[in-house]
Amino acid sequence: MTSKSASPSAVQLNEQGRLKHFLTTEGLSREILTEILDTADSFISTQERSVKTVPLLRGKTVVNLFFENSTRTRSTFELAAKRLSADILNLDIARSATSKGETLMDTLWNLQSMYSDMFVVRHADSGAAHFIAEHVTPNVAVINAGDGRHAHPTQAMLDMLTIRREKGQFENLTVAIIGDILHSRVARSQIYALKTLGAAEVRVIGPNTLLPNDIEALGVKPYNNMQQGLKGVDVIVTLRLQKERMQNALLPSESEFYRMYGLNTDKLAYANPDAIVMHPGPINRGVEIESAVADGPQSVILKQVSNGIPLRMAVMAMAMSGQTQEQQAQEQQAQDEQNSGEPA
Amino acid sequence: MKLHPQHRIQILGGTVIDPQSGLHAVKDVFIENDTIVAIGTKPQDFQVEKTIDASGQLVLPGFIDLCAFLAEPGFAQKGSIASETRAAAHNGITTLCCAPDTKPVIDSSAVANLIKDRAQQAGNVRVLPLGALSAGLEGEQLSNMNGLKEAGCVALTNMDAPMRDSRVVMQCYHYAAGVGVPVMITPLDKALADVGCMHQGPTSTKLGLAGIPESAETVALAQHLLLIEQTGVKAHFNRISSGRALAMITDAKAKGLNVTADVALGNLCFIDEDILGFDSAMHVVPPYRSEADRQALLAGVNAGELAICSNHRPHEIAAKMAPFAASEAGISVLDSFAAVLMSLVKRGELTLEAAVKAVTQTPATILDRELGSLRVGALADVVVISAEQDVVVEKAALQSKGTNNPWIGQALNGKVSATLCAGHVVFEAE
Repeated sequence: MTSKSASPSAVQLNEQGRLKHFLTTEGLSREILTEILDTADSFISTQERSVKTVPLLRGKTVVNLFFENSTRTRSTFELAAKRLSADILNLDIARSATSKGETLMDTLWNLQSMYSDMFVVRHADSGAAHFIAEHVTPNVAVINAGDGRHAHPTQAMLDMLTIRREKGQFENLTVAIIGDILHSRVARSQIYALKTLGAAEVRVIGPNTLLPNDIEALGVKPYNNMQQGLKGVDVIVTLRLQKERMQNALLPSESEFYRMYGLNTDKLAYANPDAIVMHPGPINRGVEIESAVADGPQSVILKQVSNGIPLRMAVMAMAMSGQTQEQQAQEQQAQDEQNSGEPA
Repeated sequence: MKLHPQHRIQILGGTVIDPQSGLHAVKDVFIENDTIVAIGTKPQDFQVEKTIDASGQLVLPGFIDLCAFLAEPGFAQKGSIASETRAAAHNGITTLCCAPDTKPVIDSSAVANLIKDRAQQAGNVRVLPLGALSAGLEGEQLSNMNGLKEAGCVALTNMDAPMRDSRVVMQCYHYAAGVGVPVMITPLDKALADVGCMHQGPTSTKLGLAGIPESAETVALAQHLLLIEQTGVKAHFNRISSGRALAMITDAKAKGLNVTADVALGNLCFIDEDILGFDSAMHVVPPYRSEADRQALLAGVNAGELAICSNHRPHEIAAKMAPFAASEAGISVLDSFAAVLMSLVKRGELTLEAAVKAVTQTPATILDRELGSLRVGALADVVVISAEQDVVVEKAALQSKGTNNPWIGQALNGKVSATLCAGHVVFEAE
């Protein structure tokens, strides 16, 4: 009597199996993830030209719908949309509309009435982007820019792009993600992407209170100890530690966290000598990472930032193309039905 | 439920099952006014006014639902006593205990009386109110327990609202024991549940939804068991969700503590993995837990340890149109109660005897009422059901105002053809 337990992933593909939303890296095939990386690679060259725009989204309206504050992520989406020649509307609805009692649904219906083509959504509730894609917006592409603890797929994919450009492939890589896995949507999206792209081993390192129960179900190995966890690692991802984690009995203090899990030169030496160091930003220097490491030769943190624009361009272009394909298929079907005579 | 003088009904040719007397045989049932006057042979001078043909069907005691939310007073957008009890009658329920978290809360005899009056006017099923354990369900002060008892509240519960601390819990139980009113408890440690909205396990980790650990139920349960033992209050555990909680209750009973328990029908059907896809319909309290928990709860019903309640909680569409954690919790159950129960039998997950007992004899014993039995002299609460008939719950046929029924459109088995409450035909299929 169990209901259809659809994967959150199914809703992001059109009938031809092409991306029409981008909600999560979970459940997407290696082919689609690779296509995202390849498309992003092709946009990297356009970013180095003096004229950086391409006309793929000309005439389309992209709405940045941020229910949670974020200057950085929102700016990169805005820039990516502009470089695809889209019109962009930034809506900072963190606490504005919803505080007036307007529901999420009402907000979205209003925006839909303005003939938007794409929503870039950040929301504090896990599943919010999925909810919007499923219930609210036919023919509007939804790009998840972070939902609760669930997913941040564009961040994860720009990290994959960075890894592939640095390491060439994923097959032989051991990757360690350090810190607050429990609250991290980035970590979840990275784990799914890495597993699908064929990484040899994915580890998570942190205190038990910041590792989710049953994290092994995602196919990763948990470690409490940096020396063991970093041994033989090719890629190190450090996560931002939110200050509020010192409350609510999750961590004793910043200093104890830094002593145990802060990535400094000594701990970096546990990993393979050519290991790269990544961080989704913004960095807390001296909390999760030492400045000497963040700015050191193994750090690719600024490359991640640069890769954010082409990666987001790739995802936006692919989702819009998938939406257009679906709309055309629907129109064709409607026409076929009309041509075939009387409806049943 | 006004009866005609000399109101006589015969139910012919059905398989009569009565867990209380152990009867399981093809028999005719004869009803005069509100009472079963004969089973088997027609009494002399029995002038039939109505005949119900039950051949090929089951004739069961009317079902007793220990916990359903009727949404009245205070939540007209979600349902009314009339609409929700009509759904109950369509599903063989003849006695229904209604949850106190209405607006206003059932913490005064006035509200309890209002509900009883409305239920009487609706004339669908017998409604027994559950009173609030604490004033306003606020968990701070004792409710007027004696007044609630005198107004007909069969038990007192704080539902899913937290109690301030264990001293208030202890005082409530202590006072209730003196008043002689039972308490109903849904064990949940508020701090351990925290902001959780689903079972804590691999699925909550995958979805990034905050989990409610099993320990939120079991830690609270252990505390309640100790306070029940200390105060001597008559206690019933309502809507337990984990196999471990069931095992703890079974242990406590083995050690001589007089406690009982039930499980919500939905927790026998769904598990945490059904939330993959962020289906807000699956957002319920208490949460759907693991498949192992579901199996343990089914085993508990089959062993006769658990009653089954509907935990019916109707909602309007807007209540579920939100991201998972922000949606309102609960499913609408009453419209499919009988079919879901019979489908669990059809699928071999429950035995027929256990399923019937869990909605008749067991809850009747918990309520300490002379209900839920088909024997001569008993109150004529009867359901006639075609147990294996294919049915589909149609959206258009819903009686409840709740649109949040997770079984809509699904193929189920079991169709009620008639429901009699105290000898009165409250539902008859066309």
